[in-house]
Amino acid sequence: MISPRTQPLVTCRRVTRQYGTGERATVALRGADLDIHPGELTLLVGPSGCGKTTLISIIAGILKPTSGDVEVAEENLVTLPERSKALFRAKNVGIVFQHFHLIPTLTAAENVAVPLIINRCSQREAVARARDLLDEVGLGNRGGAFPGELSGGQQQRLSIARAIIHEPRIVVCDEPTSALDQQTGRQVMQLLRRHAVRENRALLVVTHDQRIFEFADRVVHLEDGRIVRDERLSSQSSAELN
Amino acid sequence: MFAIALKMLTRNRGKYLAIIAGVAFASLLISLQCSIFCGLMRLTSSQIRDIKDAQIWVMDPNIQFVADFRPLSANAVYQVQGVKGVEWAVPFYKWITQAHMRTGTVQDVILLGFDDATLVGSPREMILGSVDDLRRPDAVVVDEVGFEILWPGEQVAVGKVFELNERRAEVVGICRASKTFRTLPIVYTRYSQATAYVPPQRKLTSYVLADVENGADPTEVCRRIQSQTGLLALTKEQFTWKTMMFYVNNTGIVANFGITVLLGAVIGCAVTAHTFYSFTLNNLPQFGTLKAMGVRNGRLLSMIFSQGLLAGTVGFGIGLGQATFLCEWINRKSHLISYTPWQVLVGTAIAVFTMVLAASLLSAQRVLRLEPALVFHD
Repeated sequence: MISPRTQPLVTCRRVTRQYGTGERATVALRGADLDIHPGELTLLVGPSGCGKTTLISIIAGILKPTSGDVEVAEENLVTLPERSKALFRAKNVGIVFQHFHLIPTLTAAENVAVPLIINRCSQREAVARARDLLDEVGLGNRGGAFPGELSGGQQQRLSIARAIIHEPRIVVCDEPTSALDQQTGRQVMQLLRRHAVRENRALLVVTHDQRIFEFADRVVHLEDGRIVRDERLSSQSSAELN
Repeated sequence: MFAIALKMLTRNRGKYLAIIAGVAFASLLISLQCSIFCGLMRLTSSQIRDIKDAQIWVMDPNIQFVADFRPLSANAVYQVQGVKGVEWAVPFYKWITQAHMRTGTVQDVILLGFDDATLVGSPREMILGSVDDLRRPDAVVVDEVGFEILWPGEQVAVGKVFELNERRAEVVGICRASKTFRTLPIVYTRYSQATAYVPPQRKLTSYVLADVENGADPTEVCRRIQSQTGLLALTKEQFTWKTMMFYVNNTGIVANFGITVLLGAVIGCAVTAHTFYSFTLNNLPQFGTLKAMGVRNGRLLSMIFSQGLLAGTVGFGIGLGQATFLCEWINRKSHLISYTPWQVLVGTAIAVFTMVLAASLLSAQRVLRLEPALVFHD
């Protein structure tokens, strides 16, 4: 783990997000302040509706905050135009979804290759690199399979491979283990730690799953749109998991 | 991204086939109806096209179409012959009369009489017998389809005899002719013979057929004939169009076919647009995921349009293939006739691709409005 004294990769200041207006307005975030440093695996926890998903959506650059400042990988996402933000996401962000969101009509290798193709890599090279990565995540023999032919754990591993293949600066995960059994959940977290937590990268995981707390460097607790507790776990235990 | 877009489309077999079927159906309906309409229009002018030797038709100025009868005096031939640029001019006779069969039945027939000396206007494609046999007394040639009408169920043969205006006519040849609008048998004979088959009349020339000298412009020669003789002179193409436009303006054919073509296009559009739209809706989560992963709206649009273009091209090809097959079948097996000029193909392509473009635009609206953050909320 890199020391928290390094320059933060993600900086959120007084971030608020409101959905709707008037009487129907719902405030999801109420002035959240958060720094995430490279080399950290941060868990974002809290009850349903506390703003976890809203916060990772803002950090991933797919949702605009109502107010506040957000800087990720030296880019100010609040002022960045939409077109540039799409380019920013394509280059710097990897996303692992709770329900995988794999493209059912593409093979496993083609799914993993998508971020490279988005970044203008040729189809052939992208698929070749995807096959190499599938080997690393234990799906080397399933490159030609369609997502529907894979188990939940395999689909999540595929989803992780897709999130990391283009070596993004930050990977955000939304409940990556909620649909998996304990053993598969552990495998997925080990995989995430191994590939997504590097010297200049960070991993942010939204979860309710207490079984995976042991993998984290840090646990940030949200309640009612506010960060109420920020726990830094023993670096010893998480380092052992690498 | 194009490869991804096309795989998203083609590997979803059910939807892909449904979209293609919709486009093919629309292409088939539009092109088939238009081809039948064009075929029908061609029927109206088939007798003009069948006369290959003459480039110019001269007629009474009040004639509106080829089946209109307003005879000219015999002098008309000489008047036309005297116009500069005319190579030759011959009389041509056309009348509808009744054939009295030996069985006692009576059948309307088109009687065509061409110049005795030159035989200009005589049938080109003989199945039995020879055009020269027409020089024999009472000799006529009947077209193949007409023979089946006059002698139903019998093998085509020469030597058959019937009566025209109580005068004997003997079939000395069978020819192939274009189908006519009224599907009447066509009886070909010499001009002198034809005029003998009808009651005595003062004016006996239906048209003057003429050709131009080498290098002369037929349109210019027509203009000269008109100014010098006061008769209406038209090139073959002009007379064909005049005849077709008469039917267009004076019958309900265009309206009837127009409604059918329009209905076909609307139904095809609705089927295609709905299927393509629902295909895109089904793929919204995937498009949302791609958007979240950094695919810009422009690239998403190009993905949707490339899907539409592929489905449109394949569907159009299949529809056109089906239409061609059906047109061929109609031409061989029915009394209808279809004709597909290039304009029908281009028009159908424009209609079909406009429809696909509209469906793509409709679908693209949803994708463009899609909030990528929604992918975290299902």
